[in-house]
Amino acid sequence: MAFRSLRRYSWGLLFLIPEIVIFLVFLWIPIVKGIGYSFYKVDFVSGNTFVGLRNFREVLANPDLPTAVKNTLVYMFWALVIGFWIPIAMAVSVSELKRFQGPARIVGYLPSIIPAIVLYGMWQWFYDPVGPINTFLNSVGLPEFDFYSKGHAVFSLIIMETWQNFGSAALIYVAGLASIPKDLYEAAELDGAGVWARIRYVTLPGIKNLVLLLLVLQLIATSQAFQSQMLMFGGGPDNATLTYLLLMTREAFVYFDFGRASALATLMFLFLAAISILTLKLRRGDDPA
Amino acid sequence: MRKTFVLSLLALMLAAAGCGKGNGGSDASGSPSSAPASASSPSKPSADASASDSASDKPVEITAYAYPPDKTAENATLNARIKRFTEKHPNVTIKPVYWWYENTEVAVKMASNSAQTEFTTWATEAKLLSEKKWIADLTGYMADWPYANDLNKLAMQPFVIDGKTYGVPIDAYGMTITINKKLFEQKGVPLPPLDWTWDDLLEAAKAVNDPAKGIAGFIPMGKGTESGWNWTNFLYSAGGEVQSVADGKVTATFNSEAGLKALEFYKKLKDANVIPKNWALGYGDALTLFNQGRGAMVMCGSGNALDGAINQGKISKDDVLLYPIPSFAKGGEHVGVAGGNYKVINGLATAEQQKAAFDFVVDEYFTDAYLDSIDAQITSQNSKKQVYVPQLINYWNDDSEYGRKYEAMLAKHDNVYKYDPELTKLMVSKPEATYETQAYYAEMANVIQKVFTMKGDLDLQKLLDDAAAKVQQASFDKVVVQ
Amino acid sequence: MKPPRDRAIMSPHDFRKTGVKIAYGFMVIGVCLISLSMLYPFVNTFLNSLKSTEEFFAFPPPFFPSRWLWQNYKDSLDYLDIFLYFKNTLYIYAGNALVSLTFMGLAAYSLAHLKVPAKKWISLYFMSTLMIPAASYLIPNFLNLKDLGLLNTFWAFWLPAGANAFYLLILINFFEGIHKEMLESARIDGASEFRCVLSIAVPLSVPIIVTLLLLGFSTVWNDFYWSSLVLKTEKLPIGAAIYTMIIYPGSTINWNVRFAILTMTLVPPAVLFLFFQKYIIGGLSLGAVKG
Repeated sequence: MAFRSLRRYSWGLLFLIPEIVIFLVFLWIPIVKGIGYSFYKVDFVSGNTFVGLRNFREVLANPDLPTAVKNTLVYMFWALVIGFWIPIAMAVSVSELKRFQGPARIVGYLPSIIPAIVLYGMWQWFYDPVGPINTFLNSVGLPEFDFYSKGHAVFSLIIMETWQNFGSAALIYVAGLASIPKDLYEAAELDGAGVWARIRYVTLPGIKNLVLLLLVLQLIATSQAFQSQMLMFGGGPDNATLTYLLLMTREAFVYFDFGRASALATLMFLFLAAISILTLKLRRGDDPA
Repeated sequence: MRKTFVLSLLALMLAAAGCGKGNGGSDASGSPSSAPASASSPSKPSADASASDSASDKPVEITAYAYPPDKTAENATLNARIKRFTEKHPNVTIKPVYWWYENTEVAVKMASNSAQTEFTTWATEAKLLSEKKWIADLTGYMADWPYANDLNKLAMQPFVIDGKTYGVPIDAYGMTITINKKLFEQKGVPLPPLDWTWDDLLEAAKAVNDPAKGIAGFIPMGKGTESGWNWTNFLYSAGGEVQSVADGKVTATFNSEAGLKALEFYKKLKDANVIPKNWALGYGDALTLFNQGRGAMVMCGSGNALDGAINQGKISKDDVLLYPIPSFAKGGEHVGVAGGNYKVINGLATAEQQKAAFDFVVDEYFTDAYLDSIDAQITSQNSKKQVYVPQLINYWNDDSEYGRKYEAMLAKHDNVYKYDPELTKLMVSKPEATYETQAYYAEMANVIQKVFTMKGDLDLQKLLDDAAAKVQQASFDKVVVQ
Repeated sequence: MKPPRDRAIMSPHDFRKTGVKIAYGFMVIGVCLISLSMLYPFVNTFLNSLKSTEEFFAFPPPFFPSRWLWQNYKDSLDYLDIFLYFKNTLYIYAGNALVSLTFMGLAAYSLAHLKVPAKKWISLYFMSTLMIPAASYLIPNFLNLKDLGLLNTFWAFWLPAGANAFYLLILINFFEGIHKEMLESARIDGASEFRCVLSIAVPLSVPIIVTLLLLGFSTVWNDFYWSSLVLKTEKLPIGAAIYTMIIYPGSTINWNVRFAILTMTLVPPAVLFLFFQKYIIGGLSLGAVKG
């Protein structure tokens, strides 16, 4: 019996095992060791000391933690509202272009090959009180916009990030759009569907799974955001852009407390893993593998 | 795959900030390298010979702190110095390895024991590195080194912790304010007196300020821990302290009256609109604005801002001036924060390696070879049409015989920046706080940002009290004073 | 196999309507504006690399240099053996691409189309690695590579390149779009699963494979932190070489020269992209993929 089922699964397992091993050796072993750090006072010279839940107690007592959680959620929300649909719109638009489709596909990808040092310099200049945007606003009689204020900082970041990152998602969507059979459009048109109707009933359903996947991936990515927050605003002003991960990287690289940093990471992992197991359970009924 | 990118950015940012803290511009100035191979070292202390005797003949392998590959001259002199050292100590093998100290990388280097046996770090790192035992206690070696007492006491201070010595100074800085003279001239504003006060600074900033053109009177750093570092100058200048240590307990004291005065001054700068509106300026950002002529004054270690402005920003050396941190009131002291570069020994090395590395590090301290190497560096900068900006504080005492030799060597060159002797007389440099300094800086950054971005009246005393309470509870209370 | 380019959502017929024409016009303008904003940093980096040092810091910054100083490029070659680092980068990238696509491709195909026990838990095993921030296991990761003896070898990049849940999920998603019937009929014809992957799944997924190849390229191209820790100087990829030798904190290399180097690093990925982009659309047989 066991032998028969093994045979049934033989190809599937054969194809999976190398990848399972690679994940085990290069991701899971380090991850588990990292989680282990959260129970230790990490000391590379004298060796680690077990401290039980002390690291967890300390990070939970940190008065900046609620701020960081709130900021992260706010950031995730606005990044979704402002940024998520842009790559889809761009991919659809580019696929419709009659000429220069190739070059148009390349542009979104450009920021991902430009060195960070150039990009941040550029946005600092764009957001400068006398930079091009404010010069333009002044020239049309509008008041200057303060991109650096406490209320605006998070939006300044999201605009910048969206601009920088939408290209990768757009490329994936373009590939997704390419796999929608063209004759479906033909048929829809013959049935009298207008352009919007075709987008609504052919294009979007055609990339539905991809949209859902990228939605989940964006949520995971934005929940771990910290780099722009740190580079542009250093988490400020007044902790307005202090995210959960920024808090964690401060523990690790400013205070060199790897125990506390790992404790923060472990908490986040537990939270996200709980959510995804829950969704798996909920979906079990309607979506048999 | 995004993750590596993310980490890269992290490194980039922290590196920029870290550079600000202590390292600032040492590259352009007197980093210790050594003389060309041809130069003999006549004044070799006999102690070295005995040192090599005591260290038996067991072969020892160590790695030395190499320079970035673009610094070919420095690397050549390092190699020559290694050669001279290994000739005297044939049992020691020294391999130069390139890894530039960075606080984002040091933990990984330590975890994997792959940092050099001797490396260079900054004053701010002393407490952290020694507490983690990542650097060796040098007290014993210092006791055997005849020149130990000739070292500049002020420069030594940050690496002497609880009576133990953890590092050998290379050079040090005291904080100054660098002024773009051209901007003053363009607006017909007279320069403030060198013996200036906070009010003089504010008035000068107001006069030279031109927000419509994007020119700020004064550029305080406002992003990252460097903002706390900048602000501490005013705290010190008003007579304040970051913390007090008594009975094995560290207490936050920066919410004192002096702290309030310093914060009120920042509020005045903000209300007078003389600081850049984009408050989010790290070390590099602030210096770039200064180089662009977008700010008339910036705070930095000794001549570091000036060095960058002259050699990278191509501002004429006659257009930049150095001022001390202003005194709170007329006739008061011009106290500023001190910091610097230090040689430390890897705490993970074996005792033999540590001994050999220490001997190697101090091998040519107080020798002519050391001076010759700086001499050669100035000459090479001259050929690149660059100006050599010496460090204000060195490992020796300026009034010693060696200090005079150094002065004589500098005097031979035209492309050496000369500090106003008045400036050095006025400056009083005071080391950074010892315990949990980064935590204090990070919390102050927050307070400073509140002052810079919030409108209307703020209860400044409350801001400071809250910050002090938070740092006290989260960091200072956990310090164990030995 | 060239698909009909004239047909996507809109057909020539639609363009007879004014509303559609106007909407299309706006769309084109939008795409143009975005494209310009994307080109700006490129052009700006290039022009900055030709400025004199004075001009580099001039304020307000002039867009064009007053004199085009090609000398900066000549100077920049003194600082960096740029071709060596290009070569290293390509070497790392080629290995990454090979390992990651082979193993991820097989695993993705298996999860999408083969019988596997506990499929959901295996998926979770892969996916949950996304949920723990990389910075938190940076040090164990490094020590792990050290224990495996992979430091200073390209294997330290090639093998872990296969452990990428993000790409794996996207591949699974695209493979799931392939009709089961096509694979069934191939199997009835006696094709092994290997054949099915090579002759059906891969050709049908050329667009996403090329996309992942491109995304993978920019990752290798940009990475400087991790590789500067893992590899010794002469093996570094370009990003890390620049970071450790050109723009390291305290570097005194002039900014215009630094930008000349940065500009040169922009060229290869741009060329690569121009070359590859046509495969994102091409190569699909119509109707082979379900909607």
